[in-house]
Amino acid sequence: MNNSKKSESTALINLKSDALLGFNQVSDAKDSQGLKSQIEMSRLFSKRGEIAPPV
Amino acid sequence: MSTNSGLYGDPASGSSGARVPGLLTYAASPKEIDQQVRTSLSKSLSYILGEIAGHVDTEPLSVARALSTIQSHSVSPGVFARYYDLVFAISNNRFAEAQQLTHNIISMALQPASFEIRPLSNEQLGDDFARYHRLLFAESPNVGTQMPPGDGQFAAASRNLNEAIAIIQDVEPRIAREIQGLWTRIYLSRDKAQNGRASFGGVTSFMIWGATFMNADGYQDRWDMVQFLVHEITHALLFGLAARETLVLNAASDGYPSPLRTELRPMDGVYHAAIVCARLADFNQRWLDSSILNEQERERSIIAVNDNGAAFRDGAATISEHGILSQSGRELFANCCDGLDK
Repeated sequence: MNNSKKSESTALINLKSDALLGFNQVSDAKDSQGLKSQIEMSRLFSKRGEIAPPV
Repeated sequence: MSTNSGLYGDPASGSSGARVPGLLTYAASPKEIDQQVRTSLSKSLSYILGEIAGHVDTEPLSVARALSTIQSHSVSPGVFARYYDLVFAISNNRFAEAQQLTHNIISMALQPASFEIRPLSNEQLGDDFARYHRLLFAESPNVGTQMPPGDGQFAAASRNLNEAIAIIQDVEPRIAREIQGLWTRIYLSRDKAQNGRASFGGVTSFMIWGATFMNADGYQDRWDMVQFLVHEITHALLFGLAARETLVLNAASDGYPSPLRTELRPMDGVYHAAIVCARLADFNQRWLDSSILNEQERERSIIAVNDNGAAFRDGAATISEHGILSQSGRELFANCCDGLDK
């Protein structure tokens, strides 16, 4: 499975982004190519401490 | 390292003046925020299951029970993670996968969840082990496969985490209530450290609501755990508040400098980082004021007040210049600016 590309524009079911949990937090959650991809949502929704403490 | 530039005056003095109680003020209790998120999940699932009725078979009574229980009690973070996989499966016409995910969501939703500290283990988590990693680190190829801590490391980290929660309860009970109200799981992992550093410290994702993840290699003692908990629960709180009303309106595709990242981040990420830093500065000052910390912890907290205060100011400057905030977003941000000025 390739999660890095946009959801296919030929989706048989076009889910409304405003009916999806959390997608309302993203001003451009859906564009002409469909819903944001999993990798894009991960970028927005995963808050990761990049600067980890020394081991 | 930054120098103290006026935040609270001298952090070591133990006198914070008449600061407002608690840095972030918000109307609902943490338990209410959690319930609102679960109610939104239940409603969204109901909508999705209606949309896919011709492609995915469900048993109406089980669905009704699952949707009702999601609203009435805490559920496993795995329910939320599967929900997002379900959305992406449907959007990509993967209906067999959608069928399996729907079945799993319904059965998992019927099992109540309560707060636990657990190892991030393939054995215990099954499918969720890879699912969580994918949702958390999809954009972070440098974060390798996680492994559970050894028994001794897990026991020590759990003990320190519980001690840290007790400290937070004494210093800032509102944050302790957030931990109790918003989380059902703290997962502990470790990774193969490179160049003496762990590949991540902690991570929290809205897509795995109810959980936070800590790299046990990165946090050694109760002081570290306090910082981890205050940091990550603030992310969770902001996610919960944003689920009610969007806080940041900037386009997600636009990048800005962030106080806690080396690369450009969406304004939402800058906003999160700035508020987290403000809260860490505020919490450490309160901890210093409480005098319930030892000498070594006291020295570290003085540095934390200064460093997090400086990082907040960096982030705040970016937000003030470029941020497009909703009413709620502006109020929370002003809350931090005002709270740290007093």
